[in-house]
Amino acid sequence: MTSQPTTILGLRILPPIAFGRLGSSDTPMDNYSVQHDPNDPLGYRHLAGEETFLVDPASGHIVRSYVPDTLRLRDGGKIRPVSPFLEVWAITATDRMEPLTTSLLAANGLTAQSVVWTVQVKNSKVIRRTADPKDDVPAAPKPFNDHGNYELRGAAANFTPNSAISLGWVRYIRPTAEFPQIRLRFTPGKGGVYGPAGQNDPSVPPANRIYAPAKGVGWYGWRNIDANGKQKTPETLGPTLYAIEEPAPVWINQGDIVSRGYLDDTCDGIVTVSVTGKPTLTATARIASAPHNFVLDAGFPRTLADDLEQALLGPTVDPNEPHEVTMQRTEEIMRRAFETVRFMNVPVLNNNLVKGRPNLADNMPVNDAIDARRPSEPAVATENTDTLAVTRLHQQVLTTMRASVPSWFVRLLRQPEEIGDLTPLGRRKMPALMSGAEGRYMTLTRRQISFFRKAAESALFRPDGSKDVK
Amino acid sequence: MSDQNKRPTILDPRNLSAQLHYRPAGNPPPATLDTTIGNTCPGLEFDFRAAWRTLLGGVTLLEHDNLVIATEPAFAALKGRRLLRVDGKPVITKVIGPSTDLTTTELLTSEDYPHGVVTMEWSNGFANVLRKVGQSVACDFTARPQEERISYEQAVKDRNVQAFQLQIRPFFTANTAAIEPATVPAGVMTQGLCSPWQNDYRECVCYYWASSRPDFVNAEVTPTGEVRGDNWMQKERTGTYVIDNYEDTRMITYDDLFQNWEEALKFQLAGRDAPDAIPLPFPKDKA
Repeated sequence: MTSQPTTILGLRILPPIAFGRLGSSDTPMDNYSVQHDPNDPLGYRHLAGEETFLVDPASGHIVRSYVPDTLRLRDGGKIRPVSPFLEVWAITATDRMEPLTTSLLAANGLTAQSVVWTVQVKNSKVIRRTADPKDDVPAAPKPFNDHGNYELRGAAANFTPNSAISLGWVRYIRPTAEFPQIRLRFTPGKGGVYGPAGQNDPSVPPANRIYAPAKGVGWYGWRNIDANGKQKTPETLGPTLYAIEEPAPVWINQGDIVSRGYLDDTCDGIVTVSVTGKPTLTATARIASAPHNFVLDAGFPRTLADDLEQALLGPTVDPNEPHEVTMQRTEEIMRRAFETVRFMNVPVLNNNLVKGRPNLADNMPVNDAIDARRPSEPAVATENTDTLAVTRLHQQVLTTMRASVPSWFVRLLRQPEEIGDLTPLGRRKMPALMSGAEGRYMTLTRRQISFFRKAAESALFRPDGSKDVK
Repeated sequence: MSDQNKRPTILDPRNLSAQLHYRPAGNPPPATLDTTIGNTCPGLEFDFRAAWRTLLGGVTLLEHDNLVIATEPAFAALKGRRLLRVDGKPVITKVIGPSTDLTTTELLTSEDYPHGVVTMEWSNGFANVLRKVGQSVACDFTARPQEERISYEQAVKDRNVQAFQLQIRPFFTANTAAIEPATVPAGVMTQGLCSPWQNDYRECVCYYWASSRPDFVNAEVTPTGEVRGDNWMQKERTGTYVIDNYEDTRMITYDDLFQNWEEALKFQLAGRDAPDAIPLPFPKDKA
């Protein structure tokens, strides 16, 4: 038996990106898994309890690990936040990395206190609009190697004296003999709304009325139009995206757009871990807070994971990837597409007549008419948009794909260069009826599209002539 | 989706995909990238469009457009110009559709698209040049500040193209799956999102992120084949879908969300409003 290498050559924080989800309960959400049923691939996914840590609020150590028999979403009306852990891993050989533990630290002459955390997060939503540095909301506790619960206290020069937005908390989990791994936990903010000081605004709790400048001076009463009718700062979208005085929304009530001066307690930022040695080793990861995804058992056809995987590995899949693996990828994308469409009222979002009357809902065909002056008409043939019909269509496609991906299928996928194709055929390509990052029709990533292309081609040209899928 | 806690105890440092998808013990699915939305317009977790703004060394692009909004001193002349091509690949595409009488296909022009072109998202647009981090690539800009977006072909015709060599900045920290802080500092990923985020749940409809902010819930098929259900944003569940309308008092309002989002927004499980406590496994007999 050979001994494993113990010299720490480098560090990584895993995962490289972790999301906290907002909620005002003091208890974080327990852990669970979401799995599809192989016997019912388009059925609702199943939930099961998974290993959950109970952290002692005073000492910061893990008291115990358990598998929950109940997933509690709220406590007394307060939503449980998602408070992710970030683990430190040590590279001990060119082909090996493993969790960093107190014993691995000891093997290198180090202790848990040799690990130092630095965290910097920001809420830069308002400075992005006003370009005023006094509107930036950073939080950066001093670097720490103890196990206190450090508040991410976001302060801005434009806040009233001594006031701040709590952007969350970070804590170096105290390692123990039972749980010796080196971890940080991020707990996000509670989901509060903050706003102008001195205003009796019922949508801003009194304690959150902290934005100091008077109306019209800064963010409160902000108008993004100068005296010449030009934008003061480029909008983040065509229309603006922030709470405005009535009437809203802006794209229906094209009038004087005046900011209510609201902020929230979301943030994103960088976690850095350092281990003091010779040399000092460091690694970084990214944390962010966001609202919950309110559907517990569904996926989205294109996630940030898909985009980041493309950025990491390139826009085309490895041609040597096993066919079965590629097929699993395409099936998962189709499943997520179906899970998404299942939550859409397809006739309404296709802009069909509803009960014989024009449908004034906000949807992609309406946007086509408003944004691009396209003649107004539904995107997909109205008789095909019954929710049951769409469900059955996806079931048939998945069944077909399980046998093999037909070569014509790739032509049904919208290419990135086709986002502006508002012809009848162009609008019917997949994913249909969804908006992309440009506000026009959504596409998958190039890499996702390449999965389908490879699956279709290898189904036709497998060198051994074997059957494609068991 | 990352469906199970099948955690490895050993990883190869070169396997960046495994690191990206790694799910630590204790982290429920909403903590992971797999439960996010990627059609960032501007997004829910990240305005991912902003991640690419400074990928081309020396210039800062607008999140959603090919406009240069800031530069380093050496590239000051590029401010206000528009990026047309990167490494020979266009970053804009045409907006086409039927003519008014629905008989032919034509370039569609409007206030948003005065010349009938739209900028493609950076994530797919820069997918190829990410392979060239540290190298200089040819970037074609308009030769002068350009208020309105124009096609590359139009710019050539107008003698309005000038090429620059720009270096591709690192998107990831070398040999890791961590986004490089020097390229994407703290605050950038969320700066373009709605302020406050609650506003966006009223403002943006489900065709942006239906699996996170659904539209059609509690759906049932009646004996006659009709599908009935509720709009997720209607206050009372009646089984009769209310078509979204910002002035309809049956719908959750902006101020309902600002004041009471935790009560107003309902989690969904198996297509229906979920209880506050879900017995696990769910469903009982299958998981």
